[in-house]
Amino acid sequence: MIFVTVGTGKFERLVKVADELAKRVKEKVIIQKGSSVCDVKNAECFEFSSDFDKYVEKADIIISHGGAGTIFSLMGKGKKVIGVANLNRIDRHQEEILEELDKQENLIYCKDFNLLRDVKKIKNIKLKKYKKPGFWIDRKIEEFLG
Amino acid sequence: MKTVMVVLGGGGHTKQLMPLIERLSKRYKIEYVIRKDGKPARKSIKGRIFKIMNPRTMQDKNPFLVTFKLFPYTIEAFWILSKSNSNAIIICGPAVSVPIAFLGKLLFRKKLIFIESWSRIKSGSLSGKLVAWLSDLIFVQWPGNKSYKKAIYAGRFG
Repeated sequence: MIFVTVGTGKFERLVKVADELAKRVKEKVIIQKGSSVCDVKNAECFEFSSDFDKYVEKADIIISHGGAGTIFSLMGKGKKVIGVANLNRIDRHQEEILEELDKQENLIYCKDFNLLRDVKKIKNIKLKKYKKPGFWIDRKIEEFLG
Repeated sequence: MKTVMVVLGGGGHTKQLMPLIERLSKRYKIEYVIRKDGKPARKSIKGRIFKIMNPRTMQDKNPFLVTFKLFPYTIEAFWILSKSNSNAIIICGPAVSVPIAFLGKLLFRKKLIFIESWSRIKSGSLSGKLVAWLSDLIFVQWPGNKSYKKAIYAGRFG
């Protein structure tokens, strides 16, 4: 199963392209479309779900918006992730993180919305596991504040 | 026990701060500032909670209207800070935190700690650019981010 998530915002372009993808792949496609305003014809679709984690678990491939929280969480679960930057947002930082993680081979950054190509590609390559660096910001804060 | 105020912005800004708050709460009392229009406070939030309106909903093309609309927001930030017992304020970037950072540092003389978002590999956020010169401590979450002179890399939340 291919699970597509746009998060809480609007991302019509991704929903439309994912709907097209559903016509052309054998796998079932399920789309979480958030507040996107558009119809979906070829795939199962919902706005939000409390079963989000179950969909993630069942999915073989996840196509996700580039929100860092979602991306880190999906990679942490060892999922095959195709990231798509949502440039509707006020700033363009989704591009930045996806470019970096693509460079590190932790995921595939689909820049041009050609999902079919990247779905084929992700089946044939081995992504590197994302290594959490951990943090010691708390220690630095404690040193400073006492 | 010292008190630390944490400004949560909702969405990813909140999510990434939770593991840090968990650790800091062992040593400090935590006060939270959350958005009125955000989701109800999570159960994991333990401590005093202040609610503030979201300045993003007050955007307007007319600069006079913006000033006028931001006025109640600033009053609210002022009110929160005057009630707070905090020694320091931690912010992680959302727009809602910027006026609190300004008032908190300049008027209420609190220590200011800015943590750049985990989504910033190289660039600095607008909030960061506005707040960096006021901050006592700045963290970036990617070692290659050279947006701020004083910044420290001390790992990443994700």
